Amino acid sequence: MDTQQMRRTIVRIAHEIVERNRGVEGLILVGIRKRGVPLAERIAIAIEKFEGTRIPVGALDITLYRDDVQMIASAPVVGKTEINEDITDKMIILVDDVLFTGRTVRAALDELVDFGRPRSIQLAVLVDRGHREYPIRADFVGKNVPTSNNETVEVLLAETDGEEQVVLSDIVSASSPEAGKKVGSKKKKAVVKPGKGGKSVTGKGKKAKAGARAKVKTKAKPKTKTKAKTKAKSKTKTKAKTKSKTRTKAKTKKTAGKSRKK
Amino acid sequence: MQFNRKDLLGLEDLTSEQIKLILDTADNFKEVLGRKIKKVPALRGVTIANVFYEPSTRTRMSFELAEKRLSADIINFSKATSSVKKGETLRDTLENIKAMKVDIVVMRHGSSGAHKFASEFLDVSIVNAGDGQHAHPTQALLDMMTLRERWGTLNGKKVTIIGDIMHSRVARSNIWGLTKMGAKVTVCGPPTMMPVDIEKLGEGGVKLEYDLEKAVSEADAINILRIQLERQSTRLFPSSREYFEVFGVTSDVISLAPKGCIVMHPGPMNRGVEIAQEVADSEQAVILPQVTNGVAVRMAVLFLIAGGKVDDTELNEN
Repeated sequence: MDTQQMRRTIVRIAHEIVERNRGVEGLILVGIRKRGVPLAERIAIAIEKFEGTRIPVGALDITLYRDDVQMIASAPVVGKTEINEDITDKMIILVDDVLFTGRTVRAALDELVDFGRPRSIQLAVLVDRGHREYPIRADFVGKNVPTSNNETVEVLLAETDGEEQVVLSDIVSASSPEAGKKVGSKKKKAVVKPGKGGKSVTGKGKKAKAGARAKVKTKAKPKTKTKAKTKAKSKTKTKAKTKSKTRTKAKTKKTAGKSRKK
Repeated sequence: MQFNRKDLLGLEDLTSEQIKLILDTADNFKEVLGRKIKKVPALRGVTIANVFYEPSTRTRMSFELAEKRLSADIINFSKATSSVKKGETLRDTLENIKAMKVDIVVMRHGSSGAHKFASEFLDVSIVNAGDGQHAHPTQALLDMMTLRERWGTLNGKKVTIIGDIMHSRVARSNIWGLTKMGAKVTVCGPPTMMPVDIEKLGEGGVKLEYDLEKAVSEADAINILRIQLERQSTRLFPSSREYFEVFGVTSDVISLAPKGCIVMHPGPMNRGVEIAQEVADSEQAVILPQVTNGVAVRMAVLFLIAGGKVDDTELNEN
């Protein structure tokens, strides 16, 4: 999925949303912070192009609704929720970048219900990587990416990260003898970079702070197989084919803190 | 940026980054207060004890509301209706509250340093809701939030604090907080109510001014303090009328300040003593927005304190 593929995927999702809901009447797009918000904005722009109607876009920060807020090291940074429309009796399209365990979506549903009683809530995601822990499925999926628990999927967007790519990485965890902290070293497995620099839809090309990316704490899966074939077509463009039968060397030691996967 | 603090005893031991984190978090909590359902489950399962050894209206209600907005469980203690009347010590009272398995103690006490003392033997988190003449950190934080809302920044702004500086914990906390955030502070009041070496307080010190007109002439904001007769063992000024004549903030005084100067007061106000009726009700006064911001700031403090456990968990956003 390069920039063009991402654009086409978003346009396809936009068409599917309009088709399923028989138009745009009563639709509100709500992006889950942080990368769901620019994706929702892009879908709204795509719908406006072929329908001629601008759909309201909101932003949801689910930090205060997380089920692990009491278990984590320090209070996470609280973002702003911005839903300026009355959502009662409206069709809400919840937008996120990656669907994984379903816990984030569960939190988002809880929060949305506090804002009113929507007629329906549908879910649109750019990447579905599987490994659900809650009975949640997406209504609109950009791409299904089979992954193992030892991998992370990162969607980078021009608006939030200053670059546009999807990164599939291996994680090798080891415990630090001094602090007892888990040190996650990432081994890049497949990188999909844009052919041309992705343009910011909103014109706000903010660079994300280093270290602000999501990390998955992994359970040690003793023996998994990996085969990764990558062909570099040019300096900027890479096509990566990955088979989910992978073999990774994962060394994990038990630490005091128990990890949560969302 | 992580908060990672067990207690909030004062602002002197916080970094400017930590203060900024509290203010940023409070900005986002303010949105919650405007919702139809003004409640989030962030502190579900957390028990908070409000221990007030002194009378309080705003602070106590504000803390209690903040706790309820975060879905915490609350127990309340007030000196008047407690075993303190029977001779129970502060330590025994707190040990008993701790034995009830509370997670956070929000405390107000008439003695400066009571919270520091409590933090040395209590392993639960302590939030200072005012201790004697020492500190009132959440009041200073809400004052800073109100100013930052207006200006976008505190750096380089000039704030004049007027009144009974000697007995004011609000003044001390404001001086620490504002100077850490880069604001320039001037204190003004009667010489009998000015503590020794006040110029050295805060980061980089403060300017001392006894002339009210000079003190307000460059002020971007004026913070007017209540005359605290309950903390004065001897009368430090002849009469309330005379105090108002010399240090009372009237519309004439405000007219000497730069255009757009903000008027603040931590409450409760003594109208006609430290602040004139017309100033208290003027458009420049942000006294009620201060109260609103108080709930948001206390929500932020409690949320960050509750998350200040030492753990080594990594998170996954997906």
